[in-house]
Order: sequence, then structure tokens, then C-alpha cells
Amino acid sequence: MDIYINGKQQAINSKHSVEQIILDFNIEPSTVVVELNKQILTPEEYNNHYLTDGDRLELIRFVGGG
Amino acid sequence: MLNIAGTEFSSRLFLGTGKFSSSEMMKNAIEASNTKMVTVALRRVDLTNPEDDTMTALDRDKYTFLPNTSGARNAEEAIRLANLARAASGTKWLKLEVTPDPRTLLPDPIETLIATEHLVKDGFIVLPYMNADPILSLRLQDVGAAAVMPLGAPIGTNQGVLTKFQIEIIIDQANVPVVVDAGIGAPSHAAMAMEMGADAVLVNTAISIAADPVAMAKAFAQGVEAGRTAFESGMGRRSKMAQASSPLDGNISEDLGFLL
Repeated sequence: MDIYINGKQQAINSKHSVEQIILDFNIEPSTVVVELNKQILTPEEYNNHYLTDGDRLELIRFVGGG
Repeated sequence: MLNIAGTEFSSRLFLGTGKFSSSEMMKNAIEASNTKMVTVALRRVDLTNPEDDTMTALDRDKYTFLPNTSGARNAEEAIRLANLARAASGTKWLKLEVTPDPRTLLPDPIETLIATEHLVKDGFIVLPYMNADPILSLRLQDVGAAAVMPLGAPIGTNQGVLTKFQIEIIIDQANVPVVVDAGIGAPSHAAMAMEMGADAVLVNTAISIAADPVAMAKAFAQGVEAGRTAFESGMGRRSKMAQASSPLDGNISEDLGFLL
């Protein structure tokens, strides 16, 4: 199935949790904030939210800025 | 001591963390500046380089972490970023930045006012970035902005406090702290803003792109301190005609008669 991660379409296998996606990308979960279909997920929700076709996932972190 | 929303700040120099050549340089410059308020931005993780995370290195115990909503083009986007910032860091502090035009990066006054009112009601400590509009400043303060942040010149231009006339009015009329933010390019600009009575200044580009950012951060700290001390010391008034420094009493030719 296809989902969007940070605006880019990605094909993934079904039954992927948000937590799995984060770890697959080698991202330390505590360094990001996650938005799924414009809803912010709490860290506790990462491993019980499974992705479905067309989902839009945003992985956001703090960077330098003025 | 500077007080914003009940928090005291021992330094009136606030620092932006953008455009440093490395996170090491950023950390050293922050240290050299003695700042107690540091801004950060929110962006998508670079999925091709996911280990790159400079911000978790910042010691949240040493400074107040001030996320900004840079990139937001309207109130809705700013509010979305604000919620992400709060979820990511737990902080209620927010630099509200709504800049629809990437060429000028000037803040949208109407969207900024709308977002400020909404975010204040939602429990954020909002420091809105604004053009140096004295009426807007009053409106922002009326809806609960914890401070106002008028620009000296557009972001990154290093032009100095071009908006001096308007900022003087803002300072005169404000009942919240006034932080001059954007455009400050040299310690002398920062000193001037402080001499005018600004409560603090926010500097980013002038330090991060200096040849020696750590030394420049220290220079800015000195400039801010000099300007503030001058403001508190009751500067003498300016005059158009000369006012002699050496005594003029008596008849000059008599006083200087020993030279003849």
C-alpha cells in the first residue's frame, strides 16, 4: 500500500506501525514529533497506530532557526 | 532583571540557532553569548540523513527554549506548528512567526494577531514577531502577548535598526517587554536598540555568519550590556550647538594670559 512520509509517496507493506516506520528510518523516536493525518500522536501511541493506504505521516524535529 | 511572563532573564541578548556552520559552533557561540533564551525551528526530518539531530544537544536547563513557527504563511499553519512544538518539547513558550512572502520574510500583521489571540487562549506564552507598527503592538499586547518583537530590518539583512522611529513609539507605549528582533547586524546596532530602551534584542544571522561566531557572540553580549547600562544611566541630551567641555568662565585672554 502507499502512504506519504514527509510529503513523499512510499510503498510499504501492510501492518506497519508508526513506531516501526520510525525505527526503519533509523530515527531515534525521542527526537521527533509525529503527525498522522494532521493529528499529533503521543509517543505512547506510536506502537499501536497502524498505517493504512493513503495515510500522511509527518516526522518533525527541532532544527536551528532564528 | 528582565522579566517575561514571570520568568527572569539575566541576559538581554536572545540568540537564534540558525545558519551556524556546525552544531559545535552553535553550542560554543551560545555559551559565549551568556544568553538565557534560545530560538529553534521545526522542520521535517531529512530521511536521507536521519541521525542528524543537533537540537537534543541543547541543555534545556541552561536556557529557555523558544520554538518558532518559521515557515508558517498564515495563522492556521502557525497554530499547527505551535502545537507540534509544544508536543515535541513540553514548553509553552513560542515565538510566533507568520511570514507569507519568502522574499521579504516580513510578518503578516493580521494573521499574527489572529494566531496570537488563539494561542494565548490555548495556554501558550506568545512572543509575536511583528513589523514595527505601534498600533499593532498595542493590539498584540491587548490579546495577551507576553512581549512584542518588532523588527529592526528584514530577517538576515544585517541592516541595523532601520525602524528606529517606530520602535521608539512602541517602547514608549508598551506595557509588555519589547524585544527588537531581526536585522541587527552589529553590536553597535544592538547597543543602539538598548539605548533606546528596548528590553532585549534577538540576534541570529549577525553571529552565525560572522567569520568568528564565538567572538562575535561575546561582542554582542558586551554591546547589549553597554547599551542597557547607558539607558539606565540617564544619557545626556543631544544639542545642535557646541557645549564646551572645558571651563569658559572669566575673560579668555585673561585666563590664558600666561601663554602670551
